[in-house]
Amino acid sequence: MRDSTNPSFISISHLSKEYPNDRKVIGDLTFAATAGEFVSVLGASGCGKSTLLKMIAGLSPVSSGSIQIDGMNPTNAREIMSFVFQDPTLLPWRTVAGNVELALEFEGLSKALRRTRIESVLKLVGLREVSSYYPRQLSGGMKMRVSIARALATTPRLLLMDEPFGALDEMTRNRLNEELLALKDAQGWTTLFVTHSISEAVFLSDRIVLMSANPGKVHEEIAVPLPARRTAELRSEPAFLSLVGKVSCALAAIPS
Amino acid sequence: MSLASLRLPFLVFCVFVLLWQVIVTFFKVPDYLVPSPLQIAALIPARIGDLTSAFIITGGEALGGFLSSAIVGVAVGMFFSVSAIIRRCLYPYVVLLQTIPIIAISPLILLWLGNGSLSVLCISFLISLPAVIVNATQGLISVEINLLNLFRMGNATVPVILFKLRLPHALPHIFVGLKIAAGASVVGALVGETFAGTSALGAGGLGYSSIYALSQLDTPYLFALILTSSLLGLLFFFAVVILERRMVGKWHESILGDRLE
Repeated sequence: MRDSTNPSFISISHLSKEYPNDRKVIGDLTFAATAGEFVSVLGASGCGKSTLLKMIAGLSPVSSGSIQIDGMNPTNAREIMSFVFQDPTLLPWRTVAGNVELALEFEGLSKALRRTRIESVLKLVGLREVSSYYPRQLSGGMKMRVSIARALATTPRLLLMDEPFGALDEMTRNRLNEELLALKDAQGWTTLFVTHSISEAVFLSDRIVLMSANPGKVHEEIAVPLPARRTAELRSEPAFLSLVGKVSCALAAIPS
Repeated sequence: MSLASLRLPFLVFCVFVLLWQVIVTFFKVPDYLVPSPLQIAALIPARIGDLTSAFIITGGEALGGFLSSAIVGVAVGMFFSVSAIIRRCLYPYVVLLQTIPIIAISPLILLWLGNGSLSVLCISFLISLPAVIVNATQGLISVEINLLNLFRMGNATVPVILFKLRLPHALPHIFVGLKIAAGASVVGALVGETFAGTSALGAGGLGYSSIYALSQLDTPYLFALILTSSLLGLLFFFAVVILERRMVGKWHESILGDRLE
């Protein structure tokens, strides 16, 4: 977290995204996040959340405005960020270890170095026993863990997550939420997390950004003043529940 | 497919052969129309030399046609997957190649390449090629968008995407094409020989020998040739199936699904 003094690790100003058919997905979006912050993005389907994430990753070109990540443009910042997609996006012909290795191959690491990194990241996410399994032999939650392991293998400073747990059952999702926070505490990356689940957003985030649609922009930001150390018990505490209520009221109040 | 599951089909085969023998003997069907299984079985050891050399000639031509269609087909698919413009310009011609009866243009091939194995190989190649191109292209371009995004996030170059993502992803599709090509290449070689076969090398290939046996009304030998040709076709097909199991068996549903049954 060497950038914790820098007030804005990510800074987005007056960002717009228009498709050739004149459809404006994002219009004049301004937003900033500090290093080490966990920010969730909530909003109706089609409000441009995923597009925003793809633009930050440099996967979708910017129409106007600017995106800066630690002073770099998105394409240059790829070195310091990892993307976790909606589905696990694993290569079915590679084993768990092989899938994690892919990210390290992109970095051009030597074979020996790759092996030690794989070993340590699989241990971190609790996948060491299945390192030689193929993706089809794993459950949905396990596959997502592999996807996260692959993202963390390159020790990113920014993690972009696009509804990574959306397809999982609630129990698995909750457990992965807890694991994700524990990993974040240990490694301290900045996270932008797109989700549809209000309780997930409240549980994970330091701050929640609500987006309105047509065109997508920041409608409201809600701070989550919950303790930094969060465990499963938090979900039944009044402070947590009232925040979930507050966020869902704010979401419902967004004119569509 | 296990050996046990072949037991019933094998029984059907035995009954069929038995019925054939009984009918031919009982109705006194003349040899030149339908020889009996026993007659064919007796003939095979006597002419095993001829059959083997014909098998080798046709097998070589079909193998040449198959391998060249596999290499060219996958290479063309790779070009198509790298450039959408190349694909849009040329793909319709692949479809056209599939619809042109190759037999209709085989006289041209004869004209350009002359009689002999090279022409036969060329006909076998042309018949096998479209299936490989079409299936390889389909597999190479149908990569999920987020997998491509993953590679783009890693700043992967076009060759890296091609060899680490598109090609392995396309393997199951490529094998569909190769299985079709395996059968087609044998058919192509057999048919090609009836046009362009030569007797220069011993007795000629299986296709050429069939035409010759027909002209001599040597029907029992014709049947032996048909059996040998079928054996060649089976051999090609199963060679591809074994290769497929080795290359995608560990991870692809199409193969693993079989095993669960």
